[in-house]
Amino acid sequence: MHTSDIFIPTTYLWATLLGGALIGVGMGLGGYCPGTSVVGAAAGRIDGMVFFVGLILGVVAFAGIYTPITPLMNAAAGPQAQTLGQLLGLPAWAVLMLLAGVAVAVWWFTRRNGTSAAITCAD
Amino acid sequence: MKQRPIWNAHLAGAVLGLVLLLTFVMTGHGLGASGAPTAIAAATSNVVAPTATQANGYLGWMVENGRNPLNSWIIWEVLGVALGALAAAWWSGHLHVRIEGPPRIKSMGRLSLALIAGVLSGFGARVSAGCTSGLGLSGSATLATAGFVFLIGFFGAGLITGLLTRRMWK
Repeated sequence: MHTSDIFIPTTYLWATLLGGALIGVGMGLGGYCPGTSVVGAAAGRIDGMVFFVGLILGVVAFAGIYTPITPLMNAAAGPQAQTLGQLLGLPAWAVLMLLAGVAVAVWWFTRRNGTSAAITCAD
Repeated sequence: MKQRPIWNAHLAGAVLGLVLLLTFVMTGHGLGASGAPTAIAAATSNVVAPTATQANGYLGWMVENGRNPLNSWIIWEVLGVALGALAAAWWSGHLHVRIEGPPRIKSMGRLSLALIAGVLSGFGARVSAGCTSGLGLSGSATLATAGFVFLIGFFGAGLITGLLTRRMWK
């Protein structure tokens, strides 16, 4: 396959940021993101099932006000399918090195805060 | 049933990355999640209020010309995720029907919180045209700017929400 066959999403600055923030609030309040609510529900968690029903209702609410908020949805659109490399003017390997550096930094600063074995999510 | 320890998060993350890579190689797109409730919303809405759904600016194209929104790859993918989660939870002894949530809050409160959180997330996933799976995981795996913009909003708001509700979880 060619890399042009791979789907790369496009940035709509305010919509992408706002949507991410709403899902972040949802995760903070409900303990799930859309994908993990399916996992929780399948493992028997009733709050996961209710969260998933909430997702459907949220989509209906969005569809209800979609037409008036269309300008916000399309505001500050970035170039089609832009990558970080194109944004920063760097080759892909340099972006990957930067991200690896971020991963090492996160590991370094969080190494004292317990290990993954302490996580009991969906136990 | 005997409980097995959950996997190391870094190992599980690496396995998830390999699954994501395989999905890209086989289908050209990554993994998703919020497309499933979107398809279910379109299908349900089309049964309850067909005229309004077909005229709707967002859901209309999903049901036009008798199209069935449930006949899409993401529905099958999410069914697979549910089956995998069921199998893993059963195998590891973590399959329990119960309501989880903040220890200080009783069942009805937890379910209300889950519903509110779900509505916010479902709405948000349509605003950003993707959720943690589609944009945060699959988008950033392609090094798409959109994936990282999404993650800035997601972690920023998640961090603030976590700090504000910290007492609730103690």
